Amino acid sequence: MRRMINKKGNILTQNIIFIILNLIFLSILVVFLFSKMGSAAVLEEKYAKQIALILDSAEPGMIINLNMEDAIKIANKENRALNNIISIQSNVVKVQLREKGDYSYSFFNDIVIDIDFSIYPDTSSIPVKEYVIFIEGDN
Amino acid sequence: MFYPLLEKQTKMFNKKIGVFMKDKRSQIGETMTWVVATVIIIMILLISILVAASYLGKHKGVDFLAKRSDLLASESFFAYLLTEDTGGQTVYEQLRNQENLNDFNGNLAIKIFDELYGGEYPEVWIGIATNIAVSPSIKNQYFGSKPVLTGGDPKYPFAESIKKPDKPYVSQRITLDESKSIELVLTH
Amino acid sequence: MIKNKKADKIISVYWFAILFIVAAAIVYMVISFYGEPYDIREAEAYALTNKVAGCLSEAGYLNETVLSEDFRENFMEKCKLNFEVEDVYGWREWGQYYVEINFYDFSTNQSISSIKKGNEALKIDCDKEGKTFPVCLERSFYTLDKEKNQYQINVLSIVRKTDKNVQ
Repeated sequence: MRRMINKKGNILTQNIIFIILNLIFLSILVVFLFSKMGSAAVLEEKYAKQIALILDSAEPGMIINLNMEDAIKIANKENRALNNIISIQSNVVKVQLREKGDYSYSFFNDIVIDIDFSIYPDTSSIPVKEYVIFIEGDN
Repeated sequence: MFYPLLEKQTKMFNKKIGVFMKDKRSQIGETMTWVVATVIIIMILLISILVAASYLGKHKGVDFLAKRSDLLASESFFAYLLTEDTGGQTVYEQLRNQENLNDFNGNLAIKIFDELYGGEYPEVWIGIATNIAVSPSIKNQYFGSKPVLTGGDPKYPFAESIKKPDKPYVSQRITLDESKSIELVLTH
Repeated sequence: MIKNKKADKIISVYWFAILFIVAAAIVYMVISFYGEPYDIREAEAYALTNKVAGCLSEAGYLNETVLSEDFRENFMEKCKLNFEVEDVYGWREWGQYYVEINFYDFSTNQSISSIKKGNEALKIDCDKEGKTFPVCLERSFYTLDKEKNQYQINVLSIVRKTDKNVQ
């Protein structure tokens, strides 16, 4: 009888430990997956290339609204000012969502963009979800 | 008295041996199950890794099948309509005054659109499109009938029950008069 | 009974080994997918072709100065193109773009003129297939001049930039 009681206790404890270890293992895996999916590096690349493609096809006088809600969320978490996320130097677009690290990509359309006024967050909606790209004129 | 006792002990011993041997058999069975399971798991993992590394990553690009306009084809289309025959009449004027494509504008259309865009697009069609619901386009001898662009069986164009997704295509239409237009269709 | 316990322990260790192998495979697949950059070179080549075509022709007519020497020499300024790139991976020394425009008489197929700008060496790899080679796009269109002369214009656009578009 005593042996049988001990047996029952051992089986239950072993199984519980087994299940808990499995759950911890799977949780770590899921956290890693989600961190990779929403990572700042992926979004920086995505938006730098998207903006470069938009500018490649842009004509003077165009106003383009670009939804960047996911990038803005990350920038807010990293305490980045929304005006400093996108910058354009000559014909290179740079997107920076974190303090350390950014992504730049060049475009071939030689249009003049005034850095201060032509790419800015659309503050008409709160929380801010979109950026406005305003193409001023020919070089 | 001794024999029943011995018999009882023998039975108990046999029982124990039986249990012992059963344990051994079940352990061997379990090991074999794990070997087979391991082989299957590793095969599935290898297939998944191959798919992820070679197929999924490749398709991180921009989808072009969705494009609905073609600037170069549009430019060619405008130039085609402005082209004059030996009499000085433009293709646009010819199509306004006639029911269908003729020798001049039909062969010119083949030379321009079939040769320049036939390699890129599986189907190229130019022809007269009307405002009549029953026959919305007129067949011609140069490009045939207008390709079916909406889903479903062409025999039953209004049957909602057999709708399929539209075929991706590029289309350019210029009005000739109140009843007809000239249309260029390039399907992907 | 003692042997049963040992078998259970071995199976538990084995179970975690399998779990670890599966997790490692998942991690590898995720890294290989999210580590792969977006390849937008084909989109860039299309945009470049469209920009060039829009510069040469409008509403079916060839722009008047297109066949002149001045246009050919100042093509980049006239068509608002800038092939400057980021100073990474040696890109500035080795140009990442090339565009070649050939003008033909539509009736006779005779070559009339051509314009070439960018890194012409990229043209060598156009017939090779594979992501590590530049993306080449050749497209044509038909146009007229004001005197109703017919032209076929072939535009070849090449975009390299493999380091930022291919893993």
